[in-house]
Amino acid sequence: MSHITIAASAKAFQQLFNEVEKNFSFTKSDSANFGPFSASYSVSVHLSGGNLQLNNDNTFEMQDVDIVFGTLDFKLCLDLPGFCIPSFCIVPDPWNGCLVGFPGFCIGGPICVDLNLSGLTSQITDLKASLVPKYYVDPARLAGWTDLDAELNGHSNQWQIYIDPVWVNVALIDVPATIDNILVNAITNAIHNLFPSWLPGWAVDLIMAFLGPIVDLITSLLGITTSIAEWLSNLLSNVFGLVGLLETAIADYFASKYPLYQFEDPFPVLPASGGLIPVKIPIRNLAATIDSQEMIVQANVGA
Amino acid sequence: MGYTDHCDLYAAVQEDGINLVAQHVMRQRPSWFNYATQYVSDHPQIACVPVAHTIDVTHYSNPLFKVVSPVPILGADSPPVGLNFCVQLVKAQVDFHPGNVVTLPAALSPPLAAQHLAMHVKICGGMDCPSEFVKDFLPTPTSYGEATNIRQPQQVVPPTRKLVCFCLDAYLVAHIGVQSIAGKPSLVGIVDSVDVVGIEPKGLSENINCYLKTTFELMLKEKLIFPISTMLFDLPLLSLATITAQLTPNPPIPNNPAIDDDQLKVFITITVAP
Amino acid sequence: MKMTFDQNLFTQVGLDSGSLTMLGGVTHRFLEAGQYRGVVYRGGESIGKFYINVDKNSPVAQANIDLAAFDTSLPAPATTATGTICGCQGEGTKAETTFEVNPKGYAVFHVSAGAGGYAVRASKAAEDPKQQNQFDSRELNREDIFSAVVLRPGTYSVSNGLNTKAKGKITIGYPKIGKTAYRPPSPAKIVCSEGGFEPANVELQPGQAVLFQANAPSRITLELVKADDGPAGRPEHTRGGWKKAALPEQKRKKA
Repeated sequence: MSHITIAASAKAFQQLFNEVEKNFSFTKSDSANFGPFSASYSVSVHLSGGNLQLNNDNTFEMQDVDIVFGTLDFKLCLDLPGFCIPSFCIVPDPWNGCLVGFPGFCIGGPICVDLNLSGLTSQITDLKASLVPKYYVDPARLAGWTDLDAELNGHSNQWQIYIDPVWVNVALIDVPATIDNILVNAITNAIHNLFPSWLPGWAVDLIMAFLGPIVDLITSLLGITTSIAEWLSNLLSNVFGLVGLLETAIADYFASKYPLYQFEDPFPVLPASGGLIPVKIPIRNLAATIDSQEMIVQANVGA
Repeated sequence: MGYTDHCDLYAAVQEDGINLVAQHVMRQRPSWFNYATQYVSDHPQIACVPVAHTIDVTHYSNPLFKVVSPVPILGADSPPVGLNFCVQLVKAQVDFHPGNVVTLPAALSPPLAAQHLAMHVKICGGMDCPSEFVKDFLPTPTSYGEATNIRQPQQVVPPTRKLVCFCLDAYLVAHIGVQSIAGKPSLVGIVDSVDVVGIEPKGLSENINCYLKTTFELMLKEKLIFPISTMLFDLPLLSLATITAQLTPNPPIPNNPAIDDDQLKVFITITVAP
Repeated sequence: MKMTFDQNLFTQVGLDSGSLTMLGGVTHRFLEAGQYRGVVYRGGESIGKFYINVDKNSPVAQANIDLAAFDTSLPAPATTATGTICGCQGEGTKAETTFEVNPKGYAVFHVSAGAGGYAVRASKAAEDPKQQNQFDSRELNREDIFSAVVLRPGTYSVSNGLNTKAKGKITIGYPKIGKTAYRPPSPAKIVCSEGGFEPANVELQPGQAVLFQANAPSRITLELVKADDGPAGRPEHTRGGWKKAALPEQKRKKA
C-alpha cells in the first residue's frame, strides 16, 4: 500500500482541468498572397469549458472545449487592377454609336478591409489523454545545493503531473453566416472610401449600381464557390492551417507547458518558523492513474 | 468502490508513511525533541543518545537542543547549584487502527479502539551526578545572612563528563480532531491517555504519565498541527476563489477525519461557485 | 487611393443645347460641299475657330469636334482613368483647326471635359448671301440632334426656348443595385416640332441618353424640378472609417 493516496472525483478533476485550460494561450499571426487577394490574420486564443469523461483505460476525454478567439483580426486585401466600370454613352451618335462616354473607371489598387472577428469560436471536439508524472529538476539548481538550499534560491525540484494527450481534434473555426453581410459591408465601405468626399449620394448609388451586387463581386474575385462563411472558415482553418497549429499547440501545452498538478519535492509540511528551517518530506514513486470514477495519485514518503 | 464515492477529494496517509514523516520532523527540528542544559547543548557528545539531524540543521545554524535550565539542587543557595541534564525523544512510532504495530500496555486497555491511534515513544534522559563537586564544595560566605544589598551569587553548574542515562517506553492513545488554524482547517492530535511502562510506585507513575500527557497535548496543539491541504500536497483547487472546500459531513461520511485501515483519511466536498 | 472624377459630371444637373457641357452634344449635317468656318463660344466670348471641309470625295462620315479642346483655360486635354472613352475619334488630343467630312456625314460637337458652357457657330467661308448653310448650336433646326444624358435622378422640365408651346417632362429613376451590374438602356428619342415635343413625357433610367431631333427651331433646356434622392433613410455618403464588425453570438456546433 502506498504511503499517500489522493483522489479527486470527476467533478474535482474537471475543475483541475479547467484551471489548466484557463492558462492556455496561443497567439499567432500570418499573411499570405493568394493571387487575386491577400489575407493576414492575428489571433489570440483561450480555452474554456468542456465536458469530462473518465475512462477505465487510464484515460480521460474532454469534449466540446470552447476555443475562443479573444482576438481575431482579419485583413483581406482584394487586388482589383482592371476591375473597371465600363464607360457608357453620354452623347450617342444617331447610329447607336457613341460620341462622348461616361468615363469608365477602375476600382484600382488594393482594397483592404479589416474585420474584427474577435469572439469567433472553435472547439476541441475531442481530447483524449492520460496522466503522466514527471520529476522536474531545475536546471539552475547548483550541484552542491541541498534541497533546502534549492528551495531558498527558488530552484527546488518539482513533482509534476501532466496531461499526456493521445489525440486532440479541433473543429473548423465556426464562422457565422452573417459574415457575408459583414464582409459585403466592409468591402462596400472600402469602395466608398475610394470615392471623393464631394461625390453626391445619388452618384455613389449610381456607381454602386454599375458595380452590381458586391457579394457577387466578392465571390467572383475570391473564387468562392461555397458561402463566404465556409470560405473564410476554410481559409483560416485549413489554408492558413490554424486548426492544425491549434491542435499542436494544445497538445504541446498540456503535455509539457502547464501541469495539472505540481508540488515541490521535498514537500514542506512545516514552514520555517522562529529561525528554524522548514520541515520537508521527500516524496517518491509518484503515480497518477484514472479510472471511470476518479483520478488517483499515490506516492511514498522517502526515507 | 472508489475513494470519492461520497466526496470530491480524498487524502490518506498510511501509518508507515506517517512514521517516516515523524522521523523527518525529528531530524529537521531536533530542538523540538531534544532538551538539555547549555552545557550539554555545547557538548552534544555527552547526551544520552546522539541527536539525528540533517545537514541543513547545522548548515543553517539550527540548534540540536532546546536549552533549558539546569535541575536545581534543592536547598542549595550559597551558591545555588544546578545539575546538567537532557531529555530526548528518540523514537516515535504511530499505529493507526487497527492496532498491529504498537503493543499497548494493559493500562491503556488494548486493543486499540476504533478511530484511534496508538503511539510508542521512546524517551531517554540523563542527569549529571556530581559527586566530586560536592566533595570539594565550599559554601560562598557572601551568601550568609540577610544582607539585602549584597548580590546573590550565580548558580553554579558543575561541569559534566557523563550523564547518567535511562530510557522509558511511553505509550499513548490519541485521536485526531480538526481545528481551524489561521482560517485553515488543520489536523490536531488529541491525547486520550498515556502510560509509561515500569514506573513504580504508582504515584510516581501517575505523575510521570500526567506530565507526559500534558507535554504531548501541548506539543501537538502548539507545534505538530498540519493543515489538511498538506495531505493533498497543496492541491491548487483548494486555493481557487471559485471553490469552497469543506470536510464532508456525516452523513455520508461517519468519521472525518477517519482512522482505519492503518490510515488517516480525510474526505472533502467542494462547491463550485457559478 | 482616391479615384478621380470630373466633378462637373455630377454637379451640373441641367442641360442646355445652346450651352453644351459634357452631358450634352449636338450633331449637325453640312449638306452643301465647301469650306465652312466655325467659331467656338464660351458664354458670349469667342475662344477659338476652326474649318470644316465638306467634300463629296471625303471618306469621313463623322467629324468629332471637341469644343473643350479650344478652351485654353482648361489645364490639359481631357483624359479618363481608362484613357479612351468609347473609342471616339479625336478625344484627348489637341484641338484641330481643320476638319473634314462628307456632305452625307455628320459633324458632332461635344465637350470632353470641364465645366462646358460652349456654343458653336459655323457658316460657309465663301460668300453665302442667303446664309442658308449657317449653323448655330443655340438655334437647332433641320434635323440637328441634341444628345443629352441626365445622371442626376429626379424630375426635369423640358422646354424649347424658341417655341413656347413646347413643354415636356423627363423623369430619371433612382439607381438600384440589381442582381446584375447596371447598364443604361438604349437612348430614347424626342422629336421637336412646331407643335412641341413628341413624346412630351419620357421616363428614363439614370445614364440613359435622350436624343432631341430638331425638326423646328429649337434650343432645348432641361431643368431639374424635383430631385430624387433615393429611398428615405438612405445613409449619408461619408467616409466609412473604422467600425468593429459586430458578430452575433455564436451557436455551438454539436458533433
